[in-house]
Amino acid sequence: MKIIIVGDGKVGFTLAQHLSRENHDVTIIDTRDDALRRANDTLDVMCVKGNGASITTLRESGADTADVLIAATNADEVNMVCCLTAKRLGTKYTIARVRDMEYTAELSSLKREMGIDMIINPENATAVEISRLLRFPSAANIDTFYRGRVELIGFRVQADDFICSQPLSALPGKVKALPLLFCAAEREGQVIIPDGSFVPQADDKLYLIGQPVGMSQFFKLLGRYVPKIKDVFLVGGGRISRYLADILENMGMHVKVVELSEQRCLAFSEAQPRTMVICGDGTDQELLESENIAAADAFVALTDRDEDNLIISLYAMQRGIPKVIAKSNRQNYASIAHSVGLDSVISPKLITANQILQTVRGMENSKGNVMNALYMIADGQAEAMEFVINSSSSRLGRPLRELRLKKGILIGVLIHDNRIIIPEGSSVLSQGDTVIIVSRDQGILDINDIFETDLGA
Amino acid sequence: MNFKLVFKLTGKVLLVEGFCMLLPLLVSLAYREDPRPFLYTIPLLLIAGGLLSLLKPKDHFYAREGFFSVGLIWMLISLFGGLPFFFCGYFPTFADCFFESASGFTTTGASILPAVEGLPYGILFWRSFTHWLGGMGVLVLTIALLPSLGNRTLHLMKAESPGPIVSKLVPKTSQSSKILYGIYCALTLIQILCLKLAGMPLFDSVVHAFGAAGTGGFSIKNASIGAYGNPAIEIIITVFMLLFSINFAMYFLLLCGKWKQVLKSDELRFFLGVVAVSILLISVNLSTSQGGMSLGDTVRHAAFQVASIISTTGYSSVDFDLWPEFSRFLLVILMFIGACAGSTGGGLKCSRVLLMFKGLKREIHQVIHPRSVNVVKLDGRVVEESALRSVLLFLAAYLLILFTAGLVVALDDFSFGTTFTSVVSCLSNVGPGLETVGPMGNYSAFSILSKVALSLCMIIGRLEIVPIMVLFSKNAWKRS
Repeated sequence: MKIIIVGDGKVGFTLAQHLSRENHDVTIIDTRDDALRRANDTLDVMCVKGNGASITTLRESGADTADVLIAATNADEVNMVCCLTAKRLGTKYTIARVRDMEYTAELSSLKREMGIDMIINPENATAVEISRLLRFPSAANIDTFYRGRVELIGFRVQADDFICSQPLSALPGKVKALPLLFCAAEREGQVIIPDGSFVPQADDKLYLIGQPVGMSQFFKLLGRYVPKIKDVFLVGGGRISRYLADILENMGMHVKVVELSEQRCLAFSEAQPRTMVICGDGTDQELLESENIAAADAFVALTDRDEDNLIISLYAMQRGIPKVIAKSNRQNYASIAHSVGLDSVISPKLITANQILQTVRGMENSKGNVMNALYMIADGQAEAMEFVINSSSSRLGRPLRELRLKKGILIGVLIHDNRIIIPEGSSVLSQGDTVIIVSRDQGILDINDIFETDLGA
Repeated sequence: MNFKLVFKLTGKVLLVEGFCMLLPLLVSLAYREDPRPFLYTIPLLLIAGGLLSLLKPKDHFYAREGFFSVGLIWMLISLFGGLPFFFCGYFPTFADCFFESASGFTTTGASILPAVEGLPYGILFWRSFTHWLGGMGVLVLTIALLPSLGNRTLHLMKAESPGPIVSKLVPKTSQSSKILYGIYCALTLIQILCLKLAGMPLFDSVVHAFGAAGTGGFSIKNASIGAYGNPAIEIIITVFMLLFSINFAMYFLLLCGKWKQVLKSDELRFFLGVVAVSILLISVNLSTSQGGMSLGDTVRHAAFQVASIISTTGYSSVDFDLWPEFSRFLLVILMFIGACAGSTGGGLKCSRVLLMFKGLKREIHQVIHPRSVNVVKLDGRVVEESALRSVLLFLAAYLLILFTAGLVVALDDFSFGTTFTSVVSCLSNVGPGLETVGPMGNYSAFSILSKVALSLCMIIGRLEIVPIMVLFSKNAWKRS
């Protein structure tokens, strides 16, 4: 596909890196020479210097024939004008990064009026991601499918869990009855697609797929269901905090925010009157103690500085807070944080880039079966994908036990007539169903790719 | 320096060269000649290339690796390309073979052969085919054929393609090189067809088309194109020499229907302006000082020689060494200017000369209004200061090499005209110079030392100095 990226910042660069590696024709537009030079030196892309909102520059970059335009500059307005102009020139699909809270309220009309096909708000996306983690404190990461009605949760097995050291087929009936499926396991850096004989061991990371209700029941049975988080402690009162506080309070949690700037505190308090806003230095341990940090159920570090976030998160962990999340834009810090036990590190830039990548990958497939979502799990060694089955799919109307899947592939969930089903041997794929597939292979782009070919359609 | 990767790349290019040599082998078989020169060389290339391609290097490739490998590869392909000449026995020493091969690949077209008409067809074909390969670049061909080279191939293209600013046509480098070669092949085929229709024998059409396409200038006639005495052929070759000295990006823009952008190109306008003015001046000069030629013939010969020299091809339709001093001097100036950036031609490149003039104009303006702020623009875009600086440094390095090589060649004790124009001609990849090395002369009289120096000049000129300088720099040979 021909893809134009406007704005060669962190998000733009990450996108260009992935998309050019996936063999797309990528053109980057930016006004800064040094940013372009870096992209030109390290990536196989074309660089165009200029203002991405100008018709001349867009024409020169081939916007009239492009498939996707991604506007990821710092300015919302520039991004919107980019998309508007590109759309008029003939670009098929446009994506804009819009982060101003004022525009957020007008998203749907913006999409309609300006011809923007997708709007992504990094801060909001990050807040949604964090809120998901807070809803399931025992999970290290959560991805959702089918408009949030199916979840994929990763968690680490502990030595005293009852699922430990026995094959999955020997689990008590109570667990088996839950609408859940163990869909992947990560052991010593290797990914395994488990079957009934798989024996979980301590320190494995297991991935469960199923309905949210089943999830909470499972974690209750596991004895790890942290009674719902009530008090959340946020450090940093930026945009992510504001989105997050809003979501959390709607879920009935109490939020306490520490923010240094008085002006930001006032704005925060104005926008979120229910939140307790404390004006002070969040990196000051004295202050954290006086606000009784140890009593909080969860702690989220969201200041602008990655280093501060990691250090105060470590402090919060030391004070015994069950769930600690840190924001870090720099990728290499995340692995260091993992090694000291801080499992949940969140990068807004990466979340943004991932969301856009998912959309673009999904579009690649538009001629066959539509891919709705794609997530990398287990450090990118496996993928979970959501497909809608249409008439181009082969092997419709036959029970699953007759179909031979390729190795390392598993059908996790089948959604038929809006009902979520954990597939069995007798389940049948029919047109209009949605399926979620977990695969160790990275080349799956179409639902027909998952079957062994020797059978013939 | 990631030597393993550099050697692996070298190996791949040698393999490509080996396969390219199959073509002259076929020619020599078709004409029932002794195929041994190629039968000996091809296995050598394939073995050396195959062994080097087996290396398993780390994926660690930056600008210095790009420049270094381009420098190394060009030295090696010239050495290997000289082997068939060595095995065929028509060349006195290996230095002569290296000179002839370097002259071929760098599209210079300077020969050490006093007479070419007796040579086997296979050897003649290979001589001209090296022009065609070297014109667009051997590495560009390798990138087009082997896209597996990875995503940092732009460094290679940058180092090999002529011109101060190298830009891609499309996002993927391998795709870009395919498009370039596509345009190149198409134009060459059209030219072969035109020449054939104008009455040139097929073999002659092919080799002369190769020579004009690469802006090389090896002919298979002692009197070059003049030997045919056919005005139509001369006009066709004039047109194609000019076409091949225009930036190939222009053709791509034309194919995309962006002809407005082509018309606005400052470099193209400058190039065409220089060509037109030179033709006019030489025609006037010729008709006032030399009588006896019709106006049409005068203009045709002037145009042919101007196109041949500014495109750095080096064909000739008449002996321009016999022309009046003004015309001869003007031709030497054209040797310096050379073709457009991104073409197959050599020389300083029109865009550099143009930037130099613009920089000079700004400097003078700055003296008159010391506090004025000016930017230099090309095609309506601001040219970075670093690009301007590199143009000036390029000119300085060019002159430095010119004088150094001139001193070496001067040891042979030829006249100033011969010494100076031979070095200028080699450095700009033109071919013929004046006097002894004039269009009817050749380079056989030089000593071995001068021949090696001139061969190096050709490669330095073709790669625009930097890659060879990197190759000979002490720092580049360090492991880290």
